[in-house]
Amino acid sequence: MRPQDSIMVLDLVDSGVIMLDKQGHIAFWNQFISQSSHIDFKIIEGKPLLDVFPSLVNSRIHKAVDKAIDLNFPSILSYKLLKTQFPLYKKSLATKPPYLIIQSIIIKPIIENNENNGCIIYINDVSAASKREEDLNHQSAKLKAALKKYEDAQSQFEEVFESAHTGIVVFDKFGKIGRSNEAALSIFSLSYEEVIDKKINELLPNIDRYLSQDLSSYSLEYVKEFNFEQAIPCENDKHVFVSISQIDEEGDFFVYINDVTEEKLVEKRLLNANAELEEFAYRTSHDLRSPLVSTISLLAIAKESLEKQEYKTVMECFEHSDKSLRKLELLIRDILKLTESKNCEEPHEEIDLEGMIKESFDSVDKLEGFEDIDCRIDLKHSSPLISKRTRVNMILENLISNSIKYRNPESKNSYIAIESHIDGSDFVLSVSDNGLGIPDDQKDKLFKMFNRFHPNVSFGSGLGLYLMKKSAEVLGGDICYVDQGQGAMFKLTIPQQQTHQQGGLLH
Amino acid sequence: MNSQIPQVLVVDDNEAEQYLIEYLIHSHNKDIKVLKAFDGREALDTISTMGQENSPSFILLDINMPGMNGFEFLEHYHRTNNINSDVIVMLTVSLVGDDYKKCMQYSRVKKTVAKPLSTETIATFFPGSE
Repeated sequence: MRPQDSIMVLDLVDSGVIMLDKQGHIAFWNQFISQSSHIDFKIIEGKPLLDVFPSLVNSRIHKAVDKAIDLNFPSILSYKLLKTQFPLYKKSLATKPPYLIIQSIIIKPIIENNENNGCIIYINDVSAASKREEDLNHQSAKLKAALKKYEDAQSQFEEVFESAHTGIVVFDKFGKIGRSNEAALSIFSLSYEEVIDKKINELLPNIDRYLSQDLSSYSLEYVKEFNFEQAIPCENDKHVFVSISQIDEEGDFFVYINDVTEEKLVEKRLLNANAELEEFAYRTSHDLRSPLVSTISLLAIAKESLEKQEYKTVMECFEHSDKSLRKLELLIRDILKLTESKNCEEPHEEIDLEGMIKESFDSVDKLEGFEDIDCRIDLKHSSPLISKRTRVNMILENLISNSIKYRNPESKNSYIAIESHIDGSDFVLSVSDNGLGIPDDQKDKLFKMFNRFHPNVSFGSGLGLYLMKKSAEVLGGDICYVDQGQGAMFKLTIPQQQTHQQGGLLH
Repeated sequence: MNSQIPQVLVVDDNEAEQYLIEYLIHSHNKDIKVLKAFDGREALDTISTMGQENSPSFILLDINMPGMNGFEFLEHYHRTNNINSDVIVMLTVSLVGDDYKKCMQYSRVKKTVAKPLSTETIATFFPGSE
C-alpha cells in the first residue's frame, strides 16, 4: 500500500487522527479533523499543537501528549473526565447550530527503534453514545421517582384503607375475601379471621343479584361500578349501602360498605311522622269542623222554632249545640296537650306512685260511675321509679279515666286494678278492668290518632291512647294492650331509672 | 221498598247530627220513622234485627266514625247482607281525595251528598212524595 493510500484510508474513517512529531508539532491530521475544526491541514502543517488549539494549554490532553512524547506513556481519556476537549464541531440538522463533538481520546506514543518519535491522537466521536447514556440516566432517575411515588401511594393507601370509616373488603373473582379493614369488621361485627377466605356472598348475600357469575367466578361485565342497599344478616338489624368496583377486568373487586342504619331509621321516622301529620290534618279538618257545622244548623233551627214558639225544639237545639261545643273544646284541649307533649323537656325525678294514683283518682271522682267502681291497688316495685313526672301522670290519668268511662254499666262488680313491679331494669305498670274492653277487629287501630271505640258510651277526642303511646316512647319505653278475653288491660313498660336520653324525632 | 210507613236509618257518631237529620226528615214528612246508629257495627246489627220485611227505605251513612267507619260498613254490608234495594247515601263533611270514587264503587251507593244537609236535599231523597 502506498503512503497516499493509507492517508486516504485515514481520511475515510469517522474518527479524528492527529500525528505529532516529537516536538509536539502537527505532522498529520485527517479529513475528520479538518472538517470538524474548519482548519485546513495545509495551513497548520508543522505548527505546534498548542498554537493551533490554544484552549488545550494545561488541559489533560496537553498533559497526556507530553506524557506520551516524554515518557512513552499512552493515555485513554474518557469524555467524562475531559473538561477541555478539542474544539471540534459537527453539523447536525441544517436548522440547528453545529454542536461540540463529545470526544473519547486515546493518545499513543510513536516509538521507532526504542526512541520516541512523537505521538498519535485518536479522537472518537461519542456524542451519540453519551446522549444515550444521558437518556438512560434520565430514564432511570424518572423510574426511581416513579417507584418512590408508588411506594408512597402504597403506604398512603394502606393508611387510608386501615383508618377509613368506610368498610372496605377486597375479594377476588372467585368471591374469596382477601382483605378487610377495621371498619368493615366492625360493621359486620366479625373478627378478621372470621372474614378472611370467606366467600363475599356470605357477608353480602345480595351481591349475587348484581354480579354476574359464570362458572362460579364473578365479573362486572360492562359496568365498572354499581351500588346497592341491603340489610345485613346480624343481630342488630344493620342497613348498609354497598358500592362495588373493579380496577381492571381480571383484578380484585373492591367493596365499599357504609353503615346507613341511622339514616334509614331517620328516614323511616320521617316517613312515619309525615304520614302522621297528614292523618292529623285530615282528621282535624273533619273532627273540628263537624261540631261547628252542626251547631250552625242547630242554631238556625232554634231561631226558626223560636219564631214558631216551639220551645221544646229550641231547648233541644240548645242542648245539642252545647254538647257539640263542649266536645270541640275537649278536642282542642287534647290537641294542645299533644303539642305540649311533643315539645316539653322535663327532668327525671323520683316518683311517688302511690300519691300519684291517689291524685289521679281525685281528679276523676266527678266522672259518672266512679263511686260504683272498686279500686284495687297492688304496688310491688321494690326500687323507686325515676322518670318524667308529668308524662307518667298523664298516662296514669288517661288509663284510669278510660277504665271508668268504659266500665260495663250492666255489671255491679266493676273494678279497676293497678299493679306495678320491676322486671330487670324495667318498671312495669299495668292497669286492668272488667269493662267493655276493645272489640277484636279494632285492636290493631288502638294507638292510632282519632280512634274511638265506644262512640255511644262516652265522648273522647280519640287522642288519648295515641297520647299515651307517644309519652311512653318519650320515656324510653312502650305501652301495649294485653288481651285478657274480658275487659281491658294496658301495660306500661319504662326504664326504672333513665340512663340516657331517648325518644324519637318528633319529641 | 215497602209501601208502608217509610223508614230511614241514620248512621252517624255525632248525636247533634242525628238530631238535625231527624228534624229535617220530619219537617219533610213527620210520619217517616227515623232509626239511628252510632257506627257501622250498630247499623249492621239494626239492619239484621229488622229483617227483610222492614228494611229501611235508605240508609244515610257517615264516613268518619269511630269503631266501624263508613267504608268498613259498606264492605260488610255488600258482603254479608241479603237485604236488597236499600239506597245508601253518603254524608261527609270533608270529601277528601278518593273518598268519592271509593264510595261510588259500591253498587248500592246511589249518590253522595255534602254536610250540612238542607230540607231541599232531604226532599230529593223521597221522589214523588210531594
